Amino acid sequence: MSEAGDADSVRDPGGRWKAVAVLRRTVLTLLVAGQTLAGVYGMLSVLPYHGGDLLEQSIVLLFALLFAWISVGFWTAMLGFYMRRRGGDPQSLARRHDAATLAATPLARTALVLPIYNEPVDRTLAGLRATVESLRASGQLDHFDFYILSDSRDADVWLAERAGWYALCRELGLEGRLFYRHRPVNLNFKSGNVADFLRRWGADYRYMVVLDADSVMGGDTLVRMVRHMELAPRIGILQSSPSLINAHSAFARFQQFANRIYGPLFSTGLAALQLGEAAYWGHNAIIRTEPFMAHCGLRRLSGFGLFKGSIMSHDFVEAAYMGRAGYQVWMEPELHESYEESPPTLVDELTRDRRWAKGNMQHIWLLFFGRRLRFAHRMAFINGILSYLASPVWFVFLVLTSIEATRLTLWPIDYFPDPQNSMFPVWPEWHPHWAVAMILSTFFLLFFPKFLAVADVLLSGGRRRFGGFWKLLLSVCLELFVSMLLAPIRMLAHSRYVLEALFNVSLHWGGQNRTDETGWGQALISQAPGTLLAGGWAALALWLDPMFFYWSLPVALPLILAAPTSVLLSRVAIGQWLRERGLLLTPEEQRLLPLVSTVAEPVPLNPTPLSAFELAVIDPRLNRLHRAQARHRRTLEPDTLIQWARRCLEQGPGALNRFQLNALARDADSLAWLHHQAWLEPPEGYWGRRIGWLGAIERGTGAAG
Amino acid sequence: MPYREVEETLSRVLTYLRLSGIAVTPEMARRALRLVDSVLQDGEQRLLARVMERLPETFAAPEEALPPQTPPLHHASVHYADSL
Repeated sequence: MSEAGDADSVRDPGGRWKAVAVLRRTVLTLLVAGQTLAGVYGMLSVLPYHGGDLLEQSIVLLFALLFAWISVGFWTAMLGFYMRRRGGDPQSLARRHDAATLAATPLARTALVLPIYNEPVDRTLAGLRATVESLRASGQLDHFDFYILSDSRDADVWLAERAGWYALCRELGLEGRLFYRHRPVNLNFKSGNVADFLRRWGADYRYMVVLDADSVMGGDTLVRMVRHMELAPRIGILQSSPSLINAHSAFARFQQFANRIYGPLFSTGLAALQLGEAAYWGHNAIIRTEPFMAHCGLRRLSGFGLFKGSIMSHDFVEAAYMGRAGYQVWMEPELHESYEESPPTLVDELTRDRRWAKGNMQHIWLLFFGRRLRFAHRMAFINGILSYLASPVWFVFLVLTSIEATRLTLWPIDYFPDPQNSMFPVWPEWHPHWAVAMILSTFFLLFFPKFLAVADVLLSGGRRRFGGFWKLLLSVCLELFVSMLLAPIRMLAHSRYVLEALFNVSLHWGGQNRTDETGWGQALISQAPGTLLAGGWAALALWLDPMFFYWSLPVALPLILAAPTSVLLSRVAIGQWLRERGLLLTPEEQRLLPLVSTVAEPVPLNPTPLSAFELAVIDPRLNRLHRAQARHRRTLEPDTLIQWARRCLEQGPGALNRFQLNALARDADSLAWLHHQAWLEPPEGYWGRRIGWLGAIERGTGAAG
Repeated sequence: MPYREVEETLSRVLTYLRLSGIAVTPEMARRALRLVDSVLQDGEQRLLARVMERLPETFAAPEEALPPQTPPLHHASVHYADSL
């Protein structure tokens, strides 16, 4: 380690990256401020009273916020494009050590931890299997241990997880290296789950790699990450930039394509601005365990409402604490073979965003009351907060501009909007060409980076990896169209989530749906408020002024069409149709990397129609496994458990609620009793029928469970 | 004694053996038949239940070593800063 430390100090004497970061951020601030001032000037020129009253001043203020926000994105992409065209950021971690130095660096014990919560077991373990196999192929498997950390609350889910863990141990020969921990109480969500691991086994590992349920990582990438950490002892967290894979529905395919083609530009720009003060995204990252345990414990917030209790979006806070302790946090876009999945439908994405909106709003408290945090990490909080707060700001901006249009049409002209400060009348002026210029400049800021990303692909000679020039171009146009359809829907949903968060409405935390499509009924009901609101708004606009009506259409029309958009984008058949025509292709799909293809169609761990609980009762080997891991110390009265077990035997597990099933599944004696009794049941009974099915499957395939 | 009940009982025994990881060789099948026959000779009532109850003493299920679900504990602390 000391040699590694010396190497790090030689390569980065005095942390030269800090000076570079300050310079880049200063330039970015000047560019954004200058651009925003120009935008504000343009907006003032567009408004009839040129900001002469409170309404117009409010419009200008909100416009400035939104314009600055999209300017940051624009210049981040510009910087990313510049860095990529010059062959990478010279300050990046990837440029710090040559291949020979990396290859000569010994590895250290590393734990791959996979916190899960009611996730699809087959897909989750298929991802872990792919990662393990890739590490085996790298020849460095021996340096890694694996932990499945389950917070799942349904007996059917965690029994399936444990059965899957057992099968995976045997299949991969990882007995004693692949572990399964099921927390009886899921305190403090995912961060509490990881903290529970650290308290028990964290001291055994120098590093931990945190994976998400849908993560897949390449062995060579993991090995490279460990070596980077070994060579730079002041790095506390190294975050990779995951690409999306395994998309089937049209919605997921659009997200995957956008992530794959625009992502590198934005992540390279972001990394170039953040350098050693990057954010942690909660997964696909390697963490130095000792400082993480020493400095990154998350206190409960002591404020009020939303700002009281556990921190929900833990990752940004942990990065900020790591920075506060003097450690660097890097995000390295050149760490390839780091993957995750997109939510399959808009409904799923919005369900996830509801949690994230609340978590990010909670960071307002840390932004103001977090002590000794680095400025860059406070900016990361602002970035996260604005990701969601921008939506209600946009919404209010639209409301105010509608009031402005209404005023101009219905109310008499006010020649003295500010009577206290002006003796002369103000003549309202309307410059449609200025308004068009403002709209075009906004569209330019939003869409030019996307075409720059395409240019980057073309200049890199990568067009074939996206299906060829014309298909790439058509895919980008389709993606632009769909993103314009989705933006107002997201805006309205995020506005609601921000309000819910600030008023502290209780949210449900659940696993991500990765399979189901959205039904018409569900879509029509969930999108009805937005559709009605947009319909009313467009009708008002048409009644007021046809010009205002046309201006409202880019927002109103997508909201009116929200239900069909949501339904059609959720369709797997449409996603496949696009794929068969070579549209929205990504390089990973075309090359069919083994790492990616193994998770595309995960082999079912339980090929029977029986639930995991039923298998735990019937299958002798699984029953033995679950009994061995179950409690022998009873926390409930034996009579109560016997009563529930009898009901389960007579009527099946469906006769019990979740608490009762969990209690039986955790109790070794109950499992043993149920197993014994089920096998004595006649063939026509509940358990007898299931034994018959299992026997038939077992005879047919040679394996069960 | 209906033939079907005997057949179902034998089938149940063979299913249990297979699911327990015991290969059903001709020798194993003969032993299963002998078990059913022996229980039948003692009486026809509750045939399935009586056969299943005698199964463990007739066939020793392979005791596969289960992998450790978790490694030995190595307690350590996660520290919390004095302030946020």
